[in-house]
Amino acid sequence: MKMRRIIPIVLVIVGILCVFGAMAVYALERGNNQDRVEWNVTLVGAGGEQKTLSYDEIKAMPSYEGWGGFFSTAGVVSGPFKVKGVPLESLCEQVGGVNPSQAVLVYAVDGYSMVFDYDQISGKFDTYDPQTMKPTPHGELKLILMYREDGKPLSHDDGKPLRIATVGTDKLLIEGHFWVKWINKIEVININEAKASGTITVAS
Amino acid sequence: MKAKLEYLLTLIVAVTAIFSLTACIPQGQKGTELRVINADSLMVPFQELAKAFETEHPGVDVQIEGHGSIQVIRQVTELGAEADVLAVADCSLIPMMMYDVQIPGTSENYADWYMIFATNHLVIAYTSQSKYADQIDNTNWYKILSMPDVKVGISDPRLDSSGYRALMTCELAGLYYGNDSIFQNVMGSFSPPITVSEGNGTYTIKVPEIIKPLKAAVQGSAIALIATVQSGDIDYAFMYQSIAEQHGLRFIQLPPEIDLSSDAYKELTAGLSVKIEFQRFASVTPVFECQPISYGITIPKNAPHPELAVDFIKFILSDTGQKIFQDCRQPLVIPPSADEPSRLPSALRLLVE
Repeated sequence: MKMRRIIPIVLVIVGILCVFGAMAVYALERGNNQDRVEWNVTLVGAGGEQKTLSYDEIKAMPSYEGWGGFFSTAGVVSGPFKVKGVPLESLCEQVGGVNPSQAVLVYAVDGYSMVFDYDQISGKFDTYDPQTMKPTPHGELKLILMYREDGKPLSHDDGKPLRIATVGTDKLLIEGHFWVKWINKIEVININEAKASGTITVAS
Repeated sequence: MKAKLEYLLTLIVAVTAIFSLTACIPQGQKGTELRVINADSLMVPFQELAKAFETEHPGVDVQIEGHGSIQVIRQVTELGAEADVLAVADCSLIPMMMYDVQIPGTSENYADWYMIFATNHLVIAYTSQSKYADQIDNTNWYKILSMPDVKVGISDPRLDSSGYRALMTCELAGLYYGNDSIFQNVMGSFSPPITVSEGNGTYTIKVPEIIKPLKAAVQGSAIALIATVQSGDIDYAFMYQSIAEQHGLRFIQLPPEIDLSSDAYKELTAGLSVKIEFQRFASVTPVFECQPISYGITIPKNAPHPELAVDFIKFILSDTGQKIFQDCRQPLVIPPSADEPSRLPSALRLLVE
């Protein structure tokens, strides 16, 4: 008789613990998805100008929204997504701008970096159809520092809080290595004029 | 009545508990997960291997993940992934990036051995629609690729091992055929230029941080290169033979002295390297020495399932594994070799030459 009374009580306690556990997991998930981020991006101009913008300051800048997606080197397709962020050109303008004799280096917090030449900053990329994976011409395309994907802030795996993306009017893909995650520094560099003659020299 | 209420309450609580517990269990969990991170060029055979290994090991879920080879290792050493097996397209990356890097919170480094288990050949892939497809062969390929109306593609040497190996092959072709202009004629000009310098029989190809080809097409990965060959946007592309075969492309086999499948290139030069003037990874010095294409495999010392990882590597080299690799046109090295045989797990030591 005693056991008959104890079992339901134990089950009630276990049940309450599980409910609280599940609520805690939910609350943690929800907390992770909040769009409140402590993050700075350092901008460095070709002439040495330097400026640091917080995540909130970047979000307050005029934004660009469009479609963007990519495929990995293993052929895995991500997107196209509805992507929102600030054009890289606008960020470069904060430290003197970028011109055709310059390039932009972007750095991630994990030590990864990528360089974009002026044509790429202006949106010249090879684009691919997500269904056929065939090279496909594109309309307007912009290189941006993205902070929202399909209306939500980025998750850690997607590059939270700021990631490089190409976005435009068409639902197309580019190669994934350009979509650099976890950006914390953007630097405008001069391409060495002496190197720009366009020849190959073979010394023997 | 009171008893019925008690039982009803118990039932409600039990159902709630089951649902709550279910919510806490990660989705998709099934048995032991063996995580394998491999070079992109191994994706096709490794996906087949994973299926066959799971069949022979019920309860094991093999997770295959492909990246560029440097990124394969960085997943573990810099991004904190816990992997059981790492396989890369350039075995020299394993000692370079793992032997002197300590696992946080321990006194151990990430690895201290690797096995060379597979190789490849660099070939020129094309389709029946490529210009002069009915004329090209393994004696005139560099003349066809030099024609002004022929579009040649390579992977980006700053990003992909087959890209810097394509530059090496072009330079070796100049030495092999005794024609200094092959590199320039095939690849065309770049702005800023890719330069080749020589000193004491050693050649250094210097790749600038910005690559803007005036003739060739440069793609970031083999996947993009395949798409552009198949679409006809480019006529010919340097790539690994296994990839060309897996995607049904025609290809020209190059002489062994220049296809990097062996050390036969040493007959042509004392040394050859590609130096990239763009440091894509803070932790990697971007200088790549000419070496035969040797795929390396290791088990990180913090692997969650080291014994199962040993079984997986043994499976690659088993009759079943060899057949899978053969069917996928990916050449294996049988028997495999190791840089430090004494450090191999005992079950693998028996397999190396």
